[in-house]
Amino acid sequence: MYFGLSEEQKSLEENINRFLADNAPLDTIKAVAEGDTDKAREVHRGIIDLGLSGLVVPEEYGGLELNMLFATVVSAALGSGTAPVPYVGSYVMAPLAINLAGEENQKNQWLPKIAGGECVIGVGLSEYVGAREDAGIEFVNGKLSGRCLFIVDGKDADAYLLANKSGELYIVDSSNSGIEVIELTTVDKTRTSIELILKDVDAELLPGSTDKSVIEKVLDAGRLMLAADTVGAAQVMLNKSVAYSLERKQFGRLIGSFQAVKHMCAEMAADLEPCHSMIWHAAHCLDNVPEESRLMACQTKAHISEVGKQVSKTATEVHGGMGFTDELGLHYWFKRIGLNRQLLGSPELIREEAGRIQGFDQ
Amino acid sequence: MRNPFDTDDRKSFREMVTKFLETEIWPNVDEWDEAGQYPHEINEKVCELGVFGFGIDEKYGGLGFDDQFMRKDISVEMGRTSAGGLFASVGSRNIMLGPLSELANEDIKLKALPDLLSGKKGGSLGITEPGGGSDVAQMKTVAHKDGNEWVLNGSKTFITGGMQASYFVIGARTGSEGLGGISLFFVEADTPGFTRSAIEKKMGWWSSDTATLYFDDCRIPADNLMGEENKGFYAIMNNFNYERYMMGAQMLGMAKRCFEECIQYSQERKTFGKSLIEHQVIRHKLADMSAKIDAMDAYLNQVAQLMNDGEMPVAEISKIKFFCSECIESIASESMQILGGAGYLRGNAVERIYREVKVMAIGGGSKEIMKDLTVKQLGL
Repeated sequence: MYFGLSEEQKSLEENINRFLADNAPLDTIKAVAEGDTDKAREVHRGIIDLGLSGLVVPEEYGGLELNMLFATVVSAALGSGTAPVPYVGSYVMAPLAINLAGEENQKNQWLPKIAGGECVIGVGLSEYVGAREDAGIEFVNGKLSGRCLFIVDGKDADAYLLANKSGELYIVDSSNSGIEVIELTTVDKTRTSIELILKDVDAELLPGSTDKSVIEKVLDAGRLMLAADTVGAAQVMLNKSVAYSLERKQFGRLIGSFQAVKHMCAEMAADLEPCHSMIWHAAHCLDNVPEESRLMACQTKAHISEVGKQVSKTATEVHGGMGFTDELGLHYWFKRIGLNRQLLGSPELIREEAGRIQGFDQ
Repeated sequence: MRNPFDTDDRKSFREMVTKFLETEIWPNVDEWDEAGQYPHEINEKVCELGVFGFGIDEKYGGLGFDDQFMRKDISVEMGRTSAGGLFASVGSRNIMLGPLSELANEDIKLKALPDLLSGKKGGSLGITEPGGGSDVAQMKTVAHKDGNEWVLNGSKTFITGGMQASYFVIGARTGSEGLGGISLFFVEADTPGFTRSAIEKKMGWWSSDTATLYFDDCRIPADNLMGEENKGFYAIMNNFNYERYMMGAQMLGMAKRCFEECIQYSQERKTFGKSLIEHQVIRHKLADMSAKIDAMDAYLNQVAQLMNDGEMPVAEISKIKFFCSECIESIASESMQILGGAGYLRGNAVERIYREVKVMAIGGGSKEIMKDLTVKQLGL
């Protein structure tokens, strides 16, 4: 039995990597981080042209109808390039939710637009995952009011997909009145995050989402995508460390010839290598083994968040003072991994959830 | 690292103890451990050094003074021998001498203390039970008053030194549920209704004897109640502090021994055309160990000085216990790694210490209980 990526998956990965290398090199990342929205739009346009916006949208709505394994391949590739584009929220979680829980007219309204790259949907599940005391939304007579934090892909979005505390999902057109958008500043400047304050905003329930399994599936997919993004980013940090250790000299020798540095690289590799398989297995479960998919998504996000933290820390250490400079830009990967760790649940929170799934609280 | 609190008296005491241990104990550790026992006269020889007499009046055979640094030095040096089992058994008297000398009546003290301090007879503390270890509040052994006697029923387990001991200090429930209903009793091994059986096959501490004790309508004189009725737990609390500090110091000794063995081995052993010690990874392991050893040592010294000043810093002693156990877990493991295949063979100190790390993280209050106690003491 062959356990690994297929030729199609590998070729998709290579296409994205090549595109990012050509169109989103470090200088572009730096420019976007400093607020160059034109450059961000260009890169975004490019990934739409690669078909990534329609990756998980069913064919009947104009998408490619590819599975979660393909989606993780894309996510890892975007993480490896610290790509400054919407993806996890807008192009994975939102279409998944709409397809699972939307009525036909809702699917017809949104899915073709997502697939065609004509709309971005910000996804706000924070209030379901673990709301702050003063956050949360309420739906009364077709109108939403309240406050949502850490909306993924929410900046300049055309619509928002928002969850209330019990996991029901609502879709809101961003041009509706009564919406206040507050940009949140996070350490990661390659992706955006916003807060929404809603006052009697017209919204639609995705009717299927009254069944809690919908938000659970959407959350599992989101967590898995973030974990894949971390693996992609961490792999690059390791590759950069090895390359740096083979060019930087200290005490008349390449630092890579010092046993202490070699072992740091070896330990990063040993920690990271199994994470690729873990992602594949979790994605396989999301696609084919529903009874294990929630647990695998939790374990994968929790474990890979820890490995990512360790690798990003060690890789920075290997780079010495240079690791802290903007010139080298290693910090973009470090911070991306840091934000992935917190989004949709920190490892501590997710491990608790994994414990509950396994009945440890009984 | 030099101890800034060291004095000539402490130094000569330490040297006297070390010299004895190096000549009488070090050469025999492997053999005694494999045999699962040590010669009985060792009890007396160790006791002759006066190492258990701190804080006990000379008329009972004690030293008539106390010094926490000397207590520390003994435990460090005992830890360094890697004879964990031997000192667990010989030293089991140490954790019952405190309550005995403070709470027992004069007749008991005059009878038992000289025997225990001279090593003629052994002593053990019996608190842990089959149903509850660190959770002392669950104690099930009961004592009820019948005329001029107390009648004990129940059992105790994991009692170090319990097969050799002639005298015991036993905790039993005399009152309500919880910690407030526990009293302490002086029990002699030849009392009718008292029996014991040996716990065999331990992970480490092979040369020590460990017992399960049984009390079946075991009648003892009313005067054998030690201290106030139902106040027993509070009376032994203080004793736990000394035990835990002592274990911290012993772990420092174990760590020092591992470090010494690693240096010696890595200087002798050659791989890839050079001495092990010339490899950067090994040098860094040694640096890590050395830093941990200094941290343990400095912490123990600081707290010893506070104790000499009359304080009982419970939170710090709890932290010492779990901090040192985490240090020695890592140091013993890395030492095994440095010794490689040679360390895996029985008959060397590092292999034995590696097996005896866990008992230090569990016995005398587990690591988790120590952390709970720490935060509680911090007022959280």
